[in-house]
Amino acid sequence: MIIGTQSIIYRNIFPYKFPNCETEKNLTEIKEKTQEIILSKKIIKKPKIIKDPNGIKDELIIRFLDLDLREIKKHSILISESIEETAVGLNISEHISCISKSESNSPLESYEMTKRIIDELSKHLIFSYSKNFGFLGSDPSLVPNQTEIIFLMHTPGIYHTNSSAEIKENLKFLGAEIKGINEDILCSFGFIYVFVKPEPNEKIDDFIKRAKKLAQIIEEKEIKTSEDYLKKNKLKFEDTVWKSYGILKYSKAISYDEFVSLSSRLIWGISNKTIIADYNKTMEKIIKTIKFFKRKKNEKTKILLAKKAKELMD
Amino acid sequence: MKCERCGEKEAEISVKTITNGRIKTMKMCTNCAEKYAHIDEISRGKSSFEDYAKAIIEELPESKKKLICPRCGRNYLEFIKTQRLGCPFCYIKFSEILKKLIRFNLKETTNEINYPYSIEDMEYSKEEKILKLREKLKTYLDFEDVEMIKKTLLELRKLKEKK
Repeated sequence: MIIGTQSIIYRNIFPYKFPNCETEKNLTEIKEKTQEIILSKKIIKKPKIIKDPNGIKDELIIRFLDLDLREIKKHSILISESIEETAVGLNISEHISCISKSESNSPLESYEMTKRIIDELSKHLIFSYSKNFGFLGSDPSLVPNQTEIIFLMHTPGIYHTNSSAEIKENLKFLGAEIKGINEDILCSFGFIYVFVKPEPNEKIDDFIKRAKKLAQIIEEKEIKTSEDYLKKNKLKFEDTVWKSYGILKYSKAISYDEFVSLSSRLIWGISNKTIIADYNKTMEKIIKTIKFFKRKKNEKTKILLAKKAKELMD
Repeated sequence: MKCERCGEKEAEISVKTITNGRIKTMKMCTNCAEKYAHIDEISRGKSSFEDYAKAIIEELPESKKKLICPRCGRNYLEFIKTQRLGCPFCYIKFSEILKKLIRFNLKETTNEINYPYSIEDMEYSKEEKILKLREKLKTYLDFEDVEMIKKTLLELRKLKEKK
């Protein structure tokens, strides 16, 4: 099931080097210049500036921006719209990384939101561009549009029937990359990121259509695998779902991986009506917790995570 | 019959794919079939992007293997290791390997936005020209090409004297 859809457009300012090679002085200059344009031209209407990742208290921003994938570095900042739907990251992986989340999980909607900001910025900045390669960035696989669409999906059926590696291989041909929420797909416990990158000479409309189609293919595969699994292992499935609920509710310390694994089974149970609860609300809370605790792995976290799990189960 | 992948060009080749254990025959145009073979090579034959890029570089002539971007100083080895380029000029410098790596048909590319400015249009600044010449000099020194060393040194001197 699709949990979140984001689209990212990257741009670099000409003639500066890309962030991995540029000097600190110039990176600060780029950041200040772009920040000033965004704020003075009101490109983002209600800006919220985030400089320090530790200072981010708002879990919604964490959930949406996936800071676990794109860490804020020394010379980076994020300017987010207060409604937390769009944000511009400066000097994260490229000079400008504009990211939008679609409430309706539509890749087109999120792309249009992102594009609006980039178009506005292009009126005031010169982006690195080549007639031959399109827009230029440090990752050459993103030419010509430097655009990426990312789906966060929950696919427990595929994971528990050991089909993840096969799906990953098959989707490579269709131009998508799958990663687990913890990078390795084999330890994803069903939470996966699907990265769709543009193909050379592909028009942006076709790219968005292809991205949508790919997410549908995974969804269909998940439904089918899940149904087949449940037909054969109904008792075993119900047993593990209720056990997961029990552990999450009553344990005093849970490791991060254990939490992800148990909550994945629990949500699977909710989606199949083994446990009656609000699927969307539970999923949102669990994803928030997973992302929040990902950056804080220590002994103290285990106790805090168990407390949080208990709260969620209540 | 149209290509089953792009739906635009005429299908000329039939490619057998194995999906979910089932063998499926797809009719593809030459471009799509070539691309499929490329992906197939990366995902099955060669273990990673790094191996594939290394194989492409192996085929390059010796002089090109030592290319360094005059602006950011990035070389092929660093590019392969990090899979990241350092600056816009790397795209010009490493265009040969990039074309092969991303199967980019440069002449056919058209972008929807008619951008007024591009790095190909830009003239090199004096500093960049000096960097470029220094890089050339380094290559000639490696190959002990005395004549070219002399010529490049002369060019460098002229450029430095130029206001």
